Amino acid sequence: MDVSGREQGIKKFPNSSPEVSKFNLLSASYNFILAILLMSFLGYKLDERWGRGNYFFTMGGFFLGLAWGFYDIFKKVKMLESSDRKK
Amino acid sequence: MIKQSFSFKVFWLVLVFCSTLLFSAGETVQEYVINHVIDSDEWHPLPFISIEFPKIAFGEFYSFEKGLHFTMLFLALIFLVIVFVLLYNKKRPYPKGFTNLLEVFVLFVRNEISISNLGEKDGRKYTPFFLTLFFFILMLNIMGLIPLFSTASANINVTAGLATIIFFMMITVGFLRKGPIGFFKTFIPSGVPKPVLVILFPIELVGLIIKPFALLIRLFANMLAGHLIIFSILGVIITFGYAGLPSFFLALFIYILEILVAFIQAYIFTLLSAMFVGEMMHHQH
Repeated sequence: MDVSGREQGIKKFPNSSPEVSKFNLLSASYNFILAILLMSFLGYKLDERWGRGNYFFTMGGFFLGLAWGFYDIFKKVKMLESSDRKK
Repeated sequence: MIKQSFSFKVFWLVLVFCSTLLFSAGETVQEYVINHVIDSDEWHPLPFISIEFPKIAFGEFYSFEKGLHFTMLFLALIFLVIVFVLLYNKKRPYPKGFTNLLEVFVLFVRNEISISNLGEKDGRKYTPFFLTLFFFILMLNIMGLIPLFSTASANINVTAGLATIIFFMMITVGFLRKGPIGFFKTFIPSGVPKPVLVILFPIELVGLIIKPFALLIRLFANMLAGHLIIFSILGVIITFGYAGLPSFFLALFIYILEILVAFIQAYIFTLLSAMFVGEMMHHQH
């Protein structure tokens, strides 16, 4: 028997508490900007190595980061919508 | 009443001490400030006191020149060992005193972060890892708020190291749980037409790199920015002399806010790590 109460307060899995949903949405803004920055930077490095002076990889990385950022926001909004419907 | 007046005196003593140091030191204070946030080969525990680290070379390829943040990481490790081995009393059925305070954090990480994102069985299994991550980051952040030490979590190499651990953990957990084919299947959303998958698969795959990258930048940027704001506000005293002394109260306010940020950043890093690992473990589209 757990006399200290250490086994109390265990949350259900998966966690869909409002706090976690908020953090999820807050991280979307960071992810959006950083995805564009990281992919553009990687593209720039590829251009430095194999590029022909037309910044093909940099632009490719930029649009891939942009696409991932929007996709990430879309997924998070969808998840929030479905958790709201369940409530 | 006596306590209040005593703390008031201590507060003014500290204020006068700080302002005297800032006025008298000039370049030394500048060095001290820079040394607090940037990795260096010297440790300035206090203004005018500097300890130089020896340069160690491992063959031709690797030399160990800047030892400040490495020392901070090592000190954080020693403090954590002291806290959890010497001060944490596990024998009592009811936690008391300092053990009680630590148990609040331990149970919070286990229940709210580990079990709620990884499930009951896996959550308990991975709790020690997330507890280590949480307390290590918290210790680094708090050490950064003490003038004696430096902020190792404001170094991008340190946060990159932590994020790399999470990145490899995501891959390893995915491979072990689902096998190589199942691992790549996690990047294929269900119910999507095949032509769209050609676009979505690379986008999903890119997320594997971006998520840990966002994790490392978030911690690094928040810790660095907080400290730079405090030092910038204190810099007003150097620029405007005694007229700038009221900025000390603003710096104090930001400092108190930074204590909150130290806890929040440790929580966010651990929570998002658990979420990413949990996603790879129990992936559902």
